[in-house]
Amino acid sequence: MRSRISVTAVAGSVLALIVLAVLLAPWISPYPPAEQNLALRLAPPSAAHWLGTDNLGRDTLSRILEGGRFSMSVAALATVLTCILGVGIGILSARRRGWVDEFLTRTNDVLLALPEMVVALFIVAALGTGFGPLLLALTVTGWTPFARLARTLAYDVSARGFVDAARVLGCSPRFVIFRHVLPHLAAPILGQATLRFGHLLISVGALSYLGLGVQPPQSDWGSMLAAAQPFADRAPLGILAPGLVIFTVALCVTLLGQRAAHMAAGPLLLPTAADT
Amino acid sequence: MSARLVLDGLEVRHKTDDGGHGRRLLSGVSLAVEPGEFVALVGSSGSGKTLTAMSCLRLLPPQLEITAGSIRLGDQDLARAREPELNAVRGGRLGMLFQQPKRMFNPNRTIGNHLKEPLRLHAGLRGSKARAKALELLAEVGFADPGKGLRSFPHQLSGGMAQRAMTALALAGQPDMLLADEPTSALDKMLERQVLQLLDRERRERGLGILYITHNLASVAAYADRVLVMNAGSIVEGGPAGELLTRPATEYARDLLAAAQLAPASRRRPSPGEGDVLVLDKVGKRFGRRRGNTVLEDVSLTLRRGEILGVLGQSGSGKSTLAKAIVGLEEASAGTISRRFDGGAARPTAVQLVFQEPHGAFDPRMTLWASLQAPLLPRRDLPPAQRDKRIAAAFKEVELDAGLLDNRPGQCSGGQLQRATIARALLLEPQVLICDEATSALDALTQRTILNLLLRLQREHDLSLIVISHDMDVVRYMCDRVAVLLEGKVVEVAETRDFFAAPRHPHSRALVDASIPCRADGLWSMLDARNPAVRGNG
Amino acid sequence: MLQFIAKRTATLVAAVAVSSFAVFLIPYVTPGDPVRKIIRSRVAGDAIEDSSVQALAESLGLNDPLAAQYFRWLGDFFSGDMGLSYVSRTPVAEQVLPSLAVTLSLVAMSLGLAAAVALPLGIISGLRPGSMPDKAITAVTQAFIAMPEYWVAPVLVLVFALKLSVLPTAGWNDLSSAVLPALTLALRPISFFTSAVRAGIIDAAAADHVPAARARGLSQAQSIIRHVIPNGLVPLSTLFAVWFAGLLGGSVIVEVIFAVPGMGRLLFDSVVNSDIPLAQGGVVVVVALAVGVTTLADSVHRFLNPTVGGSLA
Repeated sequence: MRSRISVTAVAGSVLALIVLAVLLAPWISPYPPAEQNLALRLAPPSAAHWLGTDNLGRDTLSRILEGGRFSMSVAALATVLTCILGVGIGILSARRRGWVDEFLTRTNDVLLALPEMVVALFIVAALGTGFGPLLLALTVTGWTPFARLARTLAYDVSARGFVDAARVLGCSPRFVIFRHVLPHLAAPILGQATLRFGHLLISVGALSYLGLGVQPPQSDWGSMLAAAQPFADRAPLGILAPGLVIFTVALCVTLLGQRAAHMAAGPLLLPTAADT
Repeated sequence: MSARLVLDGLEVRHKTDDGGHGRRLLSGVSLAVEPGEFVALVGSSGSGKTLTAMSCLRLLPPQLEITAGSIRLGDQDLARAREPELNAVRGGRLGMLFQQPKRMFNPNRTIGNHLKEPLRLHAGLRGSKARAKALELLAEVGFADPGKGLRSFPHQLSGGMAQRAMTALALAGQPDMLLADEPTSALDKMLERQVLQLLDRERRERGLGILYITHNLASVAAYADRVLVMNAGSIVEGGPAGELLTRPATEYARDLLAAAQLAPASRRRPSPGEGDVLVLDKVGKRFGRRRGNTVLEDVSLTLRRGEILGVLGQSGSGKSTLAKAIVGLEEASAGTISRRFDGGAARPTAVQLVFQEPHGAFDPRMTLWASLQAPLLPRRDLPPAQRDKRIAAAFKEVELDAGLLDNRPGQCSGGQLQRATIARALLLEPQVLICDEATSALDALTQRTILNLLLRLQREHDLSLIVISHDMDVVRYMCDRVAVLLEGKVVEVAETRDFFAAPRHPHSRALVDASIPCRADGLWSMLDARNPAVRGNG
Repeated sequence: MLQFIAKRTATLVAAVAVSSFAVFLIPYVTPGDPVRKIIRSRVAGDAIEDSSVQALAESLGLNDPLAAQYFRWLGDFFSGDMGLSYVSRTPVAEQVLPSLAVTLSLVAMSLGLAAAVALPLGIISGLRPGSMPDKAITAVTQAFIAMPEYWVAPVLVLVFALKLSVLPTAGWNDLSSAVLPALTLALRPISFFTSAVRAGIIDAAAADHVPAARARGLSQAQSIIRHVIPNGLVPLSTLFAVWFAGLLGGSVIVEVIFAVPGMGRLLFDSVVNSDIPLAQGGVVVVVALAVGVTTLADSVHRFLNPTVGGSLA
């Protein structure tokens, strides 16, 4: 058990550090992220520029700090929205049964089947780029995994004897949902939410990489990667640094999420075979 | 090569992380089974019976180890044998039957595919010869269409047929000795009898020795030559069946005997004039719109005040749906269920339910106290102090230690949880209690104590009970009247005594025949059941 | 069973209907004159004279009710006429189908690679959960999920193409140009497949029928080979199909980075160039195929496994 805790501690502290740094970007960045220094283009790491500079002489470290704000805020917001929406729909579906359930499940199936990137491209094509369309693109299909999970869990819990017992004992439906069903859902949903955050973070980066997410002069990690790619062999740090940050955040978030889900579960109702 | 199974001083212990040994799970277990002998190993859950069988096969889980003693099958020392030798013995000379037959088959393979394994490994048969032998075996164990049986997948078989298939699987290895680990505990009485007859016949025809493990003495009393009683990892008593059944030496054996011999209790019977408490009038229940999904049809029953009514039904008869309909969990598609006691309609919680699965009835995340508090929360007139008092009082009534209130369901035994369920139901001051197979998941000793508890509570609180069960002994013990449920319809209702003495409907007759018969004065004896004419082996 | 297929087909039809209607509406909801946009997608030539707009609109039935237009468009679409690309001025269908073929082969290679890697790793992990190999395998494969394709690809290109010069940086010419794209695309499937196989093996090994098999005389090895592994691989089959469908639409990044002329690249180009007919063609084809594959896979799974009761989506 000892090694388990230290993995969580490491992941947690690394994540906290990055988040803090990103939040404090305007105050701790060594240089203004947009400031160009054409004399010092594609410079290797040095005391003045810890991570070197990009093709326009801008400080990579500062750009990474600033870039994180966009990616992480969009991803976080989208995660919260899709989670609430999806869980609500899933529980509704499981409790109401009947045609409500059928309809919602079919819709879920349809949306689940639509390729995410295709939908995102389509929305951008129709509505243009920017924060709004990006958020929409991520949320419109993003709630489906939560709905599916919540529905399955709610069904499983409802089928358990103690839910029937609660009804016979005269407990109100609200009591049943909040005190019996939701606590059993909390752990798996939390695990799913953290996974989704990591996934959405990467998706935001992908759309930005393609030029369809963040728009200049703003930048995020994805667009930084795109910009640095042509100069990769001259200044490899340009592609290594932003990508490493995305990777690190996604990894830490996933590790923390699994651990949190494990601990919140307590006496496990539905053990997940997937976690070691 | 003699085929005697002898265990001598067998000891099994937990392995500790540092390489030593911890808790003793089996100590000093010694027993012998002669070829052709039927030996019953009886004990309540946790006594170590299954562990003994698994030790013979050297199939213990990795954290357990045999630390002392010997296991001999004829000349072979199984405790010291190496894997290749053991593989030849397992399923070959030493066969095993398991408790839940359907789960013991690979769901993705047919029965025929399963049979191939022992036939190839132990009988050296392949291809068409193996197929012929497999067909022969299935016919021998009672498959009407062996060809179909070979092609069937495990989920397509009923519980009884699965157990027969399992028996065929064990016989395929041409065993000298069979270890039967509660093979009929999951089956109803009629199927149990059929399986026992099958085993007994094989024993006689093949000269097989059988070590039959069970928690219920009654089921094997008719067939066993010798009985061994096991408790807490050791054998506490053993001897010829006739002697043990009449003059048990240890107190534990006496308790087991008493638990098995459910003699009808004497109670004050309510007279019809005292009024009805619950009336079911032509109740029907259909799921979906298709006709094939009719679970209950035209069910009319009356529960009198202070009465204990038994509903006897096998699996698939619709009894669970009936329980749910009475309690209000399901809505009847037809007919009415009326409550005729004071404030009947105004108090929906006046009819309470005791479930079959004690662990399932509680939220595993909540302590027992929290679970018992839940139904009292809507009662605004009860301040928290009063609530606690009530909860403590309820626990006392069901003879549970108040300290258990802080436990979670996972930390309690089935018997304790069932008492807790009853305590929880009592908190609502019910008039009617529906017991849906309330003791089926418990072992014989615990069953008896719960039934006695229910009888006492019924007396003290003037409750009316409906006891739904597939177990005739339970019904005979508890109930004043019996209703028989077959495929969703009530086919007979009678006073218990009359019912067991002279059942009228053919299905009722089949049920009563399968249980151990009564003597005229209402008491029955397991010794009577040992009479071959009664056993049905003739 | 039939009911199940019917339901699933209904989902397929709904998905295609929703997506096709949505793309059909693009000319109408984006800025600009819908009539001209549609004419441009139907009539060859670069410029349309104002004088002929009315006549052309009439001949294309653009004054009919929207629903009628939609069904006509849908009919044309599925009989092979997807209009003319704004950029190339050639039929969209002629671009869509070859691109589809490219993507299909890329996805097939990726999944094949993923399965080949995941099966042995998953089995090793699953047979000994908690052991050092298991921990190592799990750690590495879990990390793959956190690696964005747009990071892995440039790094791989940097190492293998630029520094070591053993593989091409981009293009789709021969087998060697498929290596890096397929590898990049395979990382996430490897992770999920390994995890699924591992979980499948763990569950299969814990099943009651495994000790029962030992009790019949099968050795440890025999019981694993005959009962644990086959049962443990069952979850992989549906996963495979789901990922196939998923990668069909999810290969965009890889195709753009490696200049692979597949559907993903086609869709991206169409969005960037506002090439509406091309986008329409791409979206509907990908959606139809993706949903079709999942439907087929689910039906086959259901057919082969009659014990699976009721689909929870």
